[in-house]
Amino acid sequence: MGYSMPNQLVEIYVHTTNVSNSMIMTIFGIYLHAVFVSFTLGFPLAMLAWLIKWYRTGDALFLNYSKTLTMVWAVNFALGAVTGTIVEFGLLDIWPTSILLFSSSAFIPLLYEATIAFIGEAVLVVLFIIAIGRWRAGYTLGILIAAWLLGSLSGYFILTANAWMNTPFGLGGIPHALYPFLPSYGPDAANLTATLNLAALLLHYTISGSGSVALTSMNFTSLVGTYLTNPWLPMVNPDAIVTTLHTLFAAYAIGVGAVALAISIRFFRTHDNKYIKLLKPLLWILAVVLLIEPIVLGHFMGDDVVAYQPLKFTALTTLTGGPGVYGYEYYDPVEALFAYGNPYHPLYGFQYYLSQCRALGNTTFGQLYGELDPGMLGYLGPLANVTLAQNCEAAVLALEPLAPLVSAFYYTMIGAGILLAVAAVLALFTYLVRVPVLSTITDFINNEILGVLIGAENVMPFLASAMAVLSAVAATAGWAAREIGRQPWTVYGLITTNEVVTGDVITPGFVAFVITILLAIAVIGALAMYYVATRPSLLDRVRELAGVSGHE
Amino acid sequence: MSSYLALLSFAVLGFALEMHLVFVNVIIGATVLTVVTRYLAYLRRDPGLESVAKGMFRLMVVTELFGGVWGTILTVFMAGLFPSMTAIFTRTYFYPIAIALVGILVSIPLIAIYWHLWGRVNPRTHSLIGVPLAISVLLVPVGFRYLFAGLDYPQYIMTNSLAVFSNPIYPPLIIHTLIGAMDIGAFVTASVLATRRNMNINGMRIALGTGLVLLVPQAIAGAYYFTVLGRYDPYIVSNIAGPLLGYDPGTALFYPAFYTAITLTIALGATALYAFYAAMQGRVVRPAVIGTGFLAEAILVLMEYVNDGSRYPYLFLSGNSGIPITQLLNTLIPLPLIAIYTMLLSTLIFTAIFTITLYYAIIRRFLPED
Repeated sequence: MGYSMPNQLVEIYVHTTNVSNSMIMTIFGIYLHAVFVSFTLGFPLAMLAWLIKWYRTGDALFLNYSKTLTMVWAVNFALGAVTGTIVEFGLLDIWPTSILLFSSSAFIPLLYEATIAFIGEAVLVVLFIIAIGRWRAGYTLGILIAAWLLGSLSGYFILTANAWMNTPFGLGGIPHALYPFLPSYGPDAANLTATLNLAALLLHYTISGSGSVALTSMNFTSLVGTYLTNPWLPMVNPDAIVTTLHTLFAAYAIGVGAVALAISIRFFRTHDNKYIKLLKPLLWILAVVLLIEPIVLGHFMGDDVVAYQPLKFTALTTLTGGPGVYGYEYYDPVEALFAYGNPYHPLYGFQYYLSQCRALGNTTFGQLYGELDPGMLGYLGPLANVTLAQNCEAAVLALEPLAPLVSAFYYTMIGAGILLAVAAVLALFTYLVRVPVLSTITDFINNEILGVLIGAENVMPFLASAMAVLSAVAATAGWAAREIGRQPWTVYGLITTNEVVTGDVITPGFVAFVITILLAIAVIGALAMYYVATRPSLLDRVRELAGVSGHE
Repeated sequence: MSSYLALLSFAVLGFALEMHLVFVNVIIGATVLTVVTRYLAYLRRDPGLESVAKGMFRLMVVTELFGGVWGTILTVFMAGLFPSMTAIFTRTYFYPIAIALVGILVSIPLIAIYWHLWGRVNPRTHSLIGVPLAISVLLVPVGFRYLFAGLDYPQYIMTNSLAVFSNPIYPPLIIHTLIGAMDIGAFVTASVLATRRNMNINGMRIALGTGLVLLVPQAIAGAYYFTVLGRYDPYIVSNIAGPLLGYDPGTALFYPAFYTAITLTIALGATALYAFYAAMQGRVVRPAVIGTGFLAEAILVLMEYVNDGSRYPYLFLSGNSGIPITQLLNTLIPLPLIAIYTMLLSTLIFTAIFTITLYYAIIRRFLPED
C-alpha cells in the first residue's frame, strides 16, 4: 500500500478517456461480430447432423430444415463478414498501434486468414447453397464440411493473433526483465534492442499525446528494425492452440445451441413431435461439445492463465480470495487444487507482485537505454528518470481496481459452465446413450424431478434450451474476463492499451452514433434471419423462380 | 532481395486493390442506378423499369459479399506490408476514413431496409429511402479516395487534420471515380441482363444508354484529372503519357497500359453504341452487350494499374521524387516469400472458383427472373 504512480506512468497505465470511450464501442462491435461468427461455425454442424439423418432415414423433414437453415446461414455469413470488416477498420482507425500486430506477430495468421480461410469459406458457402439437395450426397456433405473446416481455420488464424496478445510467444525473457513476476514466453526469438526501441518509441509518443504517432514516422521501421525474428512462431504458440480449441468449441455450442433453442421454442408452442425428432441429433453435438469444452478445454485454458498471466489469475480469484488478494499471499483450496494440483499451495496477492517489482531496484529507463541503445535516449524524455520498479508497480496498480469486475465475469463463466455440463450429462445419459447406474440417476432427475416440475415431454427441449442459454452466458462472461484481465496491456508485458488508442478525440456522441448503427445491424440482422427461418421453402422458391428444378 | 521484396509487396497490394475495385465499382454504380431507375419507374408508373431497378439491386447485393471479402484482404495487405503508410492513413486521414466507415455502417441497414420495403411501402416513400442509401454508398469512395489523393500530393505532416480535405488532386480524382463507377455499374448491369433467358430489352436500353451518356463526362473528367496530375505529379504523368506525348518516362511499365485502356475505351464506346442501336431496334446483340461489361471492367483494371502503379518506386510522391516503398516496407519481421506465394496461389484459385460460381449460380440461376 502507499504506492503512487509517477505522472508519466499514469498516462501509460491508467485508461484515458479516449481508451474508455473507444473500448465501449469496440467491445460492442466485437461481441456482435462474435455472435454472427458463432452462428456461422455452429449452423453447419446442425445442418450436417440433419443431412446425415436424412441420408440414413430418407425423412424429408431433415432435408427441408437443412435447407431453411442454409438460408439463415447465408444471411448470417454476410452479416458476419460485414461486422468483421467493421471490427477490422475499428482496429486500424480507433486502435492504430494494432497495425504493429498486423505487420509482425499477426502477419502470417492474418494473411492466411484472409487469403485462404475467409475467401475459401465465402466461396464454399455460395457453392453449398447451390449444392444442397441437388448434388450427390457426398459432394454436398464434402462442401459443407470443407466450408466448416475453413471457417474453423479462420477462427484459428484470428485467435492466434489474439492469443499472441495474451501470451507473446517468442519474446522469451524480455517481459520478465521488465515485470519479474511474468514468465519466459517461449524461445528468445525477439531482438532485445529492437524490442526496447519499439517500446521507447511507443512510450515517448504516448506521453506526448498518442503512441500510434510513432508508427507514422517515415523512419519508424528502420528505427525499430526486425524485432521478431521468426514470424511463424505465433502459429505454434501453446496458448493459441488452447485458445483456439476453447473458443471454437464455445462457438460451436452457441451456434448449435441457437438452433436447438429455436426448435425447442417451437416445440413448447406447438408440442409437435417433429421438433423432438429434429432436436435429438443436435442434442448429440451439444452434449459432446459441452462436456469437452468446460471440463477439458476450460481446464487447459486455466492452466495457461496460471502459467503465462499470473496477474490475471489473481484478478480472476478476487471474489473468493477476499481481502487476502490484495496482500502478499492467500489461500483458496479449490483454485489452488485446479491451478497447482495442491490445495495447500498459496496463491499470490497483488502485494507479492509489487514486491517482485521492487526487486528491480533503482535502475532507471535512462540507465537501461544508455547501456543498450544510447541512440534512443532522446525518445525517453521524462521517462528517463523513471525506475523500472516504478514502471512495474504501475502495471500492477492499474489492474487492481478492475480485479473485482474480472472476477465477477470469471465466476459467472464458471457457474454457467458447471450448470451446462450438468445439463449435458442429464441429456446424454437419458436421451442419447444408456449407461448402467449413470442413466438410472439421470432418469431419476429428469423424470422424477424435472419432469414433475415442467412436464415430462418438456424435459429434453428444456435441457437443450438450458445448454444454449448457458453456453452464451459462459462464453460472454469468459471472453470478458479474458480481455479485461489482460489490462493494462494490449500485448501482455509489452504494449499497454493507452499506447494503442488513436490520438484523435473519440467523443461520447461518436460512440453513441457507432453503437446505434451497430444496434441497427444487430436488429435488422436478427429480423432478416428470423424472416428467412420462418419461410421454410424459401430456397426452393428462389430456385423455382430461377427455373432450376431440384432432384432430391 | 530487399528491392525485389518491395516490388513484390507493392504488386501484391496492387493486385488486391484491383480485385477489390472490380467488385466495388459495380456496387457503387448499381446502387446509384437502382435508386435513380426506381424513382423514374415510380414517376412513369413503369413496371418494366422497376423490374430493371430490381435486377440492378440484386446484382449489387450479390457483389457486395465478395467486395467485402476483397476489402478485408486489401486491408490486411496494407497494414501488414506497409505499416507506416497505413498508420499515416489512420492518423492524417482519420476524418476521410471515418466518412467512408460511416458510409459502410449506414449503408448496410439501409440496403436491408430498401430491399425489405420494396413493394411494402408506397413507391414514393421507397424512392425517398433510396436517397440516403445512395448517399451512404457514395460516401465510401468519397472518404477512401482521399488516401489516394494523399499518396499523390502528400499531407502526412499536416498538423490540422481538416486540411486534408483541401487536397488539389482530390476533386478531379473523385469526379473521375464516381462517374467511372456508375459507368461500370451500367455496363455490367447490361451484361448481366443479357445473360438471362427472358431478356429485358427495355432494361438493356436504359443500362446501355446510361453507360453511353456517362462515357462523355467520364472522358472530360479523365482529361481534367490528367491535367491536374501534370501540375502536381509530373512523375506520374511522365510514366503514364510516355514518349508518344513527348515525355521521358523512367519505366515502360505503364504507358502501354494507358494507351491500351484508351483504345479499349474507344472500343467500348463503339460496342455500346452498336448494342444500344440494336436494342432501340428491338434486337439484342448478346455478345456486344456482354462485351460492354467486360470492356468496362478491363478499362477499370488497366486505368487503376496505371493510376497507382506509376508511382513506383515511390509510395508518397512529391513532384518528381517521393518516399520510396523500400523505406516504408515492413521490416518488423522477416517477410517470408513462401507466405506471399502461398497467398497469391490461394487467392487466384478461390477467385477462379468464385468467378465460375458467381456466373453459374448467382447470375444464371439464383437471381430470380421476373
